[in-house]
Amino acid sequence: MVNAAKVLQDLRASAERKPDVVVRLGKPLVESGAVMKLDADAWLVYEQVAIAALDVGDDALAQKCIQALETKFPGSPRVRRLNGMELEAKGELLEAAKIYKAILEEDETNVLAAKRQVMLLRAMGMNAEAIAALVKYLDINYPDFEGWLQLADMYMEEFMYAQAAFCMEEVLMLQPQNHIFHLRYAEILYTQDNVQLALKQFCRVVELCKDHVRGLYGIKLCTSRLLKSSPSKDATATSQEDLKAIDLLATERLLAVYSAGSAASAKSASTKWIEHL
Amino acid sequence: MQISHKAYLKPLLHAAKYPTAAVNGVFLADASHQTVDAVPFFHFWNTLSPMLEVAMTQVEHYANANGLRIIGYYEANEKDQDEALSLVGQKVASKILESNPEAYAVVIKNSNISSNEVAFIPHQFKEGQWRVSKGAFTEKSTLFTLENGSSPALVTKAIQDGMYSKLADFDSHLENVQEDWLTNKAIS
Repeated sequence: MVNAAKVLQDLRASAERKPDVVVRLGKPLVESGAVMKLDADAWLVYEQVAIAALDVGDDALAQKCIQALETKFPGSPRVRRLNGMELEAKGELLEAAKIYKAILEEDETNVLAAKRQVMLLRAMGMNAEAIAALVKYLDINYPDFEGWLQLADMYMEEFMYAQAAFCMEEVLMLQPQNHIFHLRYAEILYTQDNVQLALKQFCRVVELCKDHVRGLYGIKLCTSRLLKSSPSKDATATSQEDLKAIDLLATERLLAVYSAGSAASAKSASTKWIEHL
Repeated sequence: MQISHKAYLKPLLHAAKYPTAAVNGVFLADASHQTVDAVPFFHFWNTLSPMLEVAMTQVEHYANANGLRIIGYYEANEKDQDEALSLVGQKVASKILESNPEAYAVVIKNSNISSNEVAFIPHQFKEGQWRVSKGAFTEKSTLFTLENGSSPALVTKAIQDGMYSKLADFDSHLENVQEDWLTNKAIS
């Protein structure tokens, strides 16, 4: 039992979502009542097991945990959020939305309720409302880069690329060293036809992560388009000489990556793609 | 339009592999205009254009080298009940239509993936927009038919056996170029 409690604690600390593991370890603790021996941690375990039980669809277990928490902390927003999640799991989305709304009316800085509300609106197909709720949340919780990423995703779904690009700029201010975020920003810029800036971002991807194939393809797309169009008069634009050098380097790296091992069909298609670009 | 088992199987394995994501890809036809294969594209995000451009061109090269043509597009939506052809889907399908008058677009009916019902909802371009082809895969229809009538049952079995773990799309190929996204030889 000590081991189970320790594993559950580690999972809470790392914020990993492994509902099957949590239920397997937590269910015996809750059902035998042994959980109460954990003192103050007991309530954290109840909450953790409740969420995991909802994830795996063990409604009876979830209800047992939530009831214990309700008795201990009547009216707590943290417990009411669990009630909301329980309703979501049952498909009673409107009822769940009412709970989150009430929590946020009492306290608009309640992070957990605000996040649930956004995801719920999204699940209900109310994208504009979900975006508005998330914008409001980020006004208060600016440093939550995952929130900005989520907002970028939602704008992308609505084809609002300028807004999505803005969100990625916020993400990159908060997390400048993650190549995946530069990659996403680069692909949004390219989609917006901002090829000059997209090239710089694709280069940053490859700089942070050597021989990143998606980044190399992105570079090739940009250089080939820029080399075909008439040279830009913008002083900040990459010069024709530099474009040619970058293009050559990206070609070399792509060919090297594919020679190191790939299916014959993929190798042949990529080589032809490079030749005909 | 006849759909081979492989062309029916791969899109459904793609959807089964990434149940919470929107996935898409294209269909390939042989010289006799029958759909013989499918090539899976994406599961990360599908509203951005750069890698779509790369994937489309590379599939064209692959098809040309093997006597095949791109004939259709498929997608499965992120939300379970969503059965509408997305805007991106309409765009890609219209692009295929430019070079192939028989082009079609399939939306995967998520609720039919593991059932004995056909999980493809084919769309064709009629009167200025992409519309559901009525009566597809019914006994009367010659418009869309399965080459192998037991494909849905075989797919259900393949999903139970976890065959989708062997499927590679272009997204996974970009992460590891050893992933065989064009032919998916491990799937049959």
